[in-house]
Amino acid sequence: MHPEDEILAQLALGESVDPSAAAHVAGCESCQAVVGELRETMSLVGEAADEELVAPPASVWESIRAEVADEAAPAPTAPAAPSVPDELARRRRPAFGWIAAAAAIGVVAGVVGTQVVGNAPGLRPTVLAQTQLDTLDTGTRGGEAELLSSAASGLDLRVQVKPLDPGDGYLEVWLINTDLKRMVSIGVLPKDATVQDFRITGSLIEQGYVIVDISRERFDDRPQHSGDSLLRGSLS
Amino acid sequence: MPSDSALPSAELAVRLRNGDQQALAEAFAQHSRLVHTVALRTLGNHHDAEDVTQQVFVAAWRGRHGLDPARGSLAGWLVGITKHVIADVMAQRARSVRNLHAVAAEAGPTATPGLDGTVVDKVVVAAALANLGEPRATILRLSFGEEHTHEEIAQRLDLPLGTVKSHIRRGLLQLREDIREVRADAS
Repeated sequence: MHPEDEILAQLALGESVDPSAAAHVAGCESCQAVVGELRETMSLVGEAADEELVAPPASVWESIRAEVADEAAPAPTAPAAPSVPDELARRRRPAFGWIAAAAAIGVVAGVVGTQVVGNAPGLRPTVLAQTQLDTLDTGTRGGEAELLSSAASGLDLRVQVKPLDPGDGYLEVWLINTDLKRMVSIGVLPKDATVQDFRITGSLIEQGYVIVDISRERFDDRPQHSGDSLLRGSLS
Repeated sequence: MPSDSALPSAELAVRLRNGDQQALAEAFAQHSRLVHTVALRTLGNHHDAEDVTQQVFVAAWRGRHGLDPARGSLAGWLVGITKHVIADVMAQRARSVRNLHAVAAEAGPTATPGLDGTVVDKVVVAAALANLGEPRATILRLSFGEEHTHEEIAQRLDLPLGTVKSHIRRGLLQLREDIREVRADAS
């Protein structure tokens, strides 16, 4: 018969125990495994003893409570699939909220299985932010851009424009940081296209890449922005 | 082996799964330090850590039907969600770094930072240690962290030697159980 756990703990701690118990453990794999785990626990405690836990500020709980407050608890026997776009639509937090929303979708899908994902394709994407796209010189409206979130495809920037003249080059869509010093290309707008979606990551938005810019670029093997911006607008 | 805290934890998990918002508040009170500290240690900034903590508990609420109290502890389940959210933030960061590199026309792949399992383990153990209550937590810290003898600890805390030894044995068994449950569900 296996000795009691406290005896195994004594062995792990290097204390002497009843000889018959010690003899049993010497020949018992499962008891030895427990002793091994207890020793590992001792060394983990040694490493973690000075680790200080940090409590989140009270505002975090307030935000959580606000987010879940209006989600009525369904009956335990009939859990309703969360309606992702509706939940996203309720989220009005700026910046990091968007990426967090995307993260939450991923996690919920992982936790509840295919429920969310299975329903996703039929759902309309949610507009998280939008902007007019105007010419830089005269401020004439030339189109618009929308930041869309859908459970099926994540975050997309949808660009809708009146036909633009690429000249002898092509049209490229950029996101410029609010610091106006950094920019990333998110793709090429095909000639004569009036609406095009570009996949983007939430962290770009989080980091302040919210200014949408459409530029005319030349085929010159220079990946940098040409400086020839046709339309621009800032997502909000 | 039934552990001292298994029953209330399982009960809380069942209440949470059934949609009891008060249970979410209790889960937050018990485990938000664990979640927040894991996020803080792995992401390295308070703002991101607070957002991750918020996302974890909101996701826990929305995904509560996937909570299986028989499979592991509530803490383990929350740590599992925390790892997902953190991995997602890290992946987003890495993608954005790659985009920036592409703009600057720099060649070469950018390494995706991984989640440091050692950091997570340490925080999980620290949280489990704190949950042991006093004087047990202090006794275990002194014994395994600062490597004081049982006699020194007894003297320092003015407790009988037998009491100190008993706290160490039971505390050790409890922690092993806590860590097993977290690992069972958070892997």
